[in-house]
Amino acid sequence: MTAKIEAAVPEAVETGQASENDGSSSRRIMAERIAAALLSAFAALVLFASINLGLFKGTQPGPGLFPLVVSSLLLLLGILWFVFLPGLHGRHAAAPPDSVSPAQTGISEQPAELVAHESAVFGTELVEAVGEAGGIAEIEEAVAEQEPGDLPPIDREGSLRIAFILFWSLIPILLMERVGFLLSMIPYVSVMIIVIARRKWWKVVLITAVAVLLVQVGTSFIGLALPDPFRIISTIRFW
Amino acid sequence: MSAFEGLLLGFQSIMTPEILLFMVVGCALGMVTGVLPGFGPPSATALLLPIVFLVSPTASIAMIASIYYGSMYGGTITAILLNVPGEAASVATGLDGYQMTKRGQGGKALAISAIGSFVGGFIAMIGMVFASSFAILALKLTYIDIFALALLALIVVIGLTGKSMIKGLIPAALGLFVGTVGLDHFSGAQRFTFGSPDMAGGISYIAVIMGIFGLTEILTNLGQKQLINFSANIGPTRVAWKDIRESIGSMGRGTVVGFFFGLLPGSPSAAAAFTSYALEKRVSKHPERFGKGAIQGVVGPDTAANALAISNFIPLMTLGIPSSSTMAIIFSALIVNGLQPGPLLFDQHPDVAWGIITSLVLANVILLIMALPLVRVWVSVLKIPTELLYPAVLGVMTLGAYAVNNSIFDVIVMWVAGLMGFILTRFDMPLAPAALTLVLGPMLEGNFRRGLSLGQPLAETFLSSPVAIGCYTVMIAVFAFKGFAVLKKLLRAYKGRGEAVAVS
Repeated sequence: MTAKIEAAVPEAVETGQASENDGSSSRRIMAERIAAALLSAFAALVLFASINLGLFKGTQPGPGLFPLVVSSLLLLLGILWFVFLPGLHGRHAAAPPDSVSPAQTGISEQPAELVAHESAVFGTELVEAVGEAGGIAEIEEAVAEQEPGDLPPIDREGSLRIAFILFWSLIPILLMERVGFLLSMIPYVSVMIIVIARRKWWKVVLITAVAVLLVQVGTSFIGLALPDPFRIISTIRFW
Repeated sequence: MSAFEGLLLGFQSIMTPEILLFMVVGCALGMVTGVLPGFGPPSATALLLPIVFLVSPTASIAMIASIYYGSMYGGTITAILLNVPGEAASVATGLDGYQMTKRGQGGKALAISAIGSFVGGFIAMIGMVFASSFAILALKLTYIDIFALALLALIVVIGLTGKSMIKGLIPAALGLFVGTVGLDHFSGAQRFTFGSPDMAGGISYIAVIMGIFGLTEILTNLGQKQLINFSANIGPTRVAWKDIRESIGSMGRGTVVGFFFGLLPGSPSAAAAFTSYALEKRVSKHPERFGKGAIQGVVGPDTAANALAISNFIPLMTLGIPSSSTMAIIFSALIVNGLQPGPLLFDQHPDVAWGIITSLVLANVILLIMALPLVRVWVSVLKIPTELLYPAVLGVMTLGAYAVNNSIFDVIVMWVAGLMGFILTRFDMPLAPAALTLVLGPMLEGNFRRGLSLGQPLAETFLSSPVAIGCYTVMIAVFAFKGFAVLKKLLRAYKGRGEAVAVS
């Protein structure tokens, strides 16, 4: 089994992935360029706002002084990111494809055995590097060097899931104070489970309703008042 | 108050049925969360942070310490049984731990790792008690010293920047910016609040930390498919005396390595674990056994990681300066409870300060008692479909963020921070610097402005104290050290290229 996995890793890397990487790499550079430009623009705005806040009041430092220092640093970093982007990305792209970060190992689309194999490869290389290193700085450098840059790409289904979660999380934000914790959290949690986990809706709604009700009753007992404009919980507690 | 009296006071304040129960619950929750793929101690602590606000300050900090410990051991469980580490430090543990699992000795690996963690934590604890007695000296520090110390702690950020310094410093600068939002306490001016009364009070640390660590992790995981199925044979969790005898040296060495690394800026846990592993391999009579299931390869790194977890608290407790992202979370938890971390805590709330220290000892004991008999329960968490788990966690997080200030604004802050964190991680930017600068920023600004308000020349003000001069000297040394390492690397690369040309 292990031998099969070992053979599968380079094979998978060689076939198809190289051409896919080229496309995703240029898309990635474009995305980073846009992000760097947006960051620089944001930093410039903060910089002007800081100046307007006042840098000095007489001989005393004003409220805008520290934000000015921070926004100048942010602007500089944004520009550096924009300018040195191809270099930064090139280094990440050059990371060995079979080295997987600890965070990645848990979230990749690979079976556990393959994840384990890759984690072992990553660890063994790291131990060798640490073993050769002399001082603390070199050890830290060895650890940082072995940490690969890119996270695995998010597929279409994953993007849709994230977009849905972001959109649906407006429900408690918009409704919690209007209709209460209970009536906003039941649809919030149950619809998320129905859409993402694709379970039977009536079971999900029932279980979620009971769980949310228990949470609200429990929190009201310990003195944490959650929004309840229709006084549902006080009625339940009264009965 | 002597260290012994302090310890007695600490035990008195936490030895109540209520706090012990919270600690047991904290350990269990921490282990369950730590077992989840991708959830290391910072994410686990951030996720469970809102729960601790429901209890008293001492109980809440004791519970956080337990969650922290539990999540660390949760990461060890998955590293040993699945070779799926919860955090970078556990990768070293998994190298030999997973090999032991493959041989049906996973239970033994977990047991010896729990014992090693306990020993490492306990010995490091003694070091911490010793260091805490010096905290009273820190009361004599002036704002110039505190500014220099906070600036030194910012060097931490450079230690956490990973491969690219630019990409590491961007989240750090963003954290500093978020710290400036709200009412300026010196002039009363509102900064970047857009007239919103919610923003005038400043951005809640807790909501931001929950967002950047907890939500980011959930969003990242939701973007992937989880296909990890656990079916290995754990085997018995008994450890023979022979195994303990073989591991005692590794435990001692691991403790020293971990304790030392924990005092360094950035508390590099992965570096500590791998140094310990490399050290064990070097001193072993059978280095060929490493990577094939050597028990010392499991004990050393895990002991180092746990000793580091304790010595991590020393800069926070003695100087009030967090040196890692988890410590930044604990810092914010103390602040929310109305407690200022640092030497003043020992002076004004000795029961809480010593309660925190003793809770670390107790959390270690609780973990040792709970970890092994229930190991199958912790692993079974992996069998819960994440599609069911994450919506429930999101519901709990929404409740938690709301409960911080009874305000929906904090829920919005958590989501914005989570989304930002998600975007930053997609661009390979580390999040730990943002958490640290968020906490350190106001401290740095306040003391900087107090120094400037004296109206003296900068050098005269900021170099007037020996502590400050010492801090700046250390900073220069750190930069020189880093610069030297970079130079050495460049020279090596240049030499390598020269050799390649000669061969061709």
